[in-house]
Amino acid sequence: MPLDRHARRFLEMLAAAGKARGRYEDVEERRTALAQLADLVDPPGTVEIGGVREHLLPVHDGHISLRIYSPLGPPARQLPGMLFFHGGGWVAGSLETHDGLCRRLSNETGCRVIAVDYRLAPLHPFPYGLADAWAALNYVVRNPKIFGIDPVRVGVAGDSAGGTLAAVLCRMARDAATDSPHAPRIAFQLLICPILDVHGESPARLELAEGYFLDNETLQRDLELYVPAGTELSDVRLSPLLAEEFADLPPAFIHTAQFDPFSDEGEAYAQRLGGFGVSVHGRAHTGMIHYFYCMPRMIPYALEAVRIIGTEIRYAVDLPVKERRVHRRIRPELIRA
Amino acid sequence: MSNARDRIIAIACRMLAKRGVQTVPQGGDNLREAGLTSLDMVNLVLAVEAEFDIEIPQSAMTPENFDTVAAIESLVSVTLKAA
Repeated sequence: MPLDRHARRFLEMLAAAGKARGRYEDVEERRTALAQLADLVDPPGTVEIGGVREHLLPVHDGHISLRIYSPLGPPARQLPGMLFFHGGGWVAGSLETHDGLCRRLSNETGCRVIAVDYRLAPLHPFPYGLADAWAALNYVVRNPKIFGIDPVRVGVAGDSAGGTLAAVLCRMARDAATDSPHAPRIAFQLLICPILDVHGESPARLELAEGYFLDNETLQRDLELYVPAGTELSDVRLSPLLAEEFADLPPAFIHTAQFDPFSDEGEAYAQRLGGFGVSVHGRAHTGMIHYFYCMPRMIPYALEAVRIIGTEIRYAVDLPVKERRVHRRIRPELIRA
Repeated sequence: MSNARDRIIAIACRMLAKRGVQTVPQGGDNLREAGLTSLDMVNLVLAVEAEFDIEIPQSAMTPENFDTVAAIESLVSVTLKAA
């Protein structure tokens, strides 16, 4: 399938606008660019929703914000929950850049979406962001009344670098459960165009290294700022695809995009999870580029993709966990359906 | 100064102001050098399309056509005539 015509037009506009900056020096420049893009393709605060409020969470050395989105419809005391971690290469992105996506995810999935403003590199390099994510997960699951959620139906979600965090949280929660009965239990993982191997040597990474919105030079610079010297890139908290086993991880919903440098990683992860008996569902979105799901004003299919995700998640959270594990086994190759 | 040029300058001024640049670009001034980023330029294309209710064809989507207010004005004129 060729590039979606709207995606192609967007890339043409970017090309006409001048050479992509690629490697950047000033991280503020990277952050501003993403914030400006969000303003352009999905302005924050513009999607009607049932309600939104913020909660300040104390974490090690500071505080982080949680933004709680309630879906349209009659107010409910208790809903399934979805912690959401935004993308942006661990150095950029914010609650604002992914506000539109979170609003739509809440409306479409029926979940109370709790977006986590985890701290970013370079001021807070790896593993700060992951520690913030873990703290947020534990806090939310242990305080369901504050958030109006059903603590046994809480999933984690993320796109791009946020997808890495979501995937790694699943491993952490699973491993913690062997030591503590109070460890958070994750009902599902939703990974949208996730980064799952930071080595970046897959065919898609090489073939789509330039000209497909997110250039390899930008990614490499992100990684330099995020990963402290001496840290192995094969650390499964950075590259969860490289783990040796994937047993007993939560049911996964993995969405990749055909022209996304991370597409091979997402599909390989689906295969690995499926090989260990984990339920996997999802789609490889043909003709799409990275971040398309956040660009409805530029790429209308973004809305359809979130509707597809919504249907999957609604089905998942309406079933008790035990039944879902028995009945929701999906052959991993169906990810290309 | 044409009315179309005024409208294009107004759009460019709004975008430059967001970047903290208060100057008013003249017809031949390079907008990137004035302070617009790549994404600003994309935004500029969209804003120009909305302002004049046109869709700039793929063949015209080149950096040269968006370098200056005068170039954009020319592009808008050609696109409007072709519509």
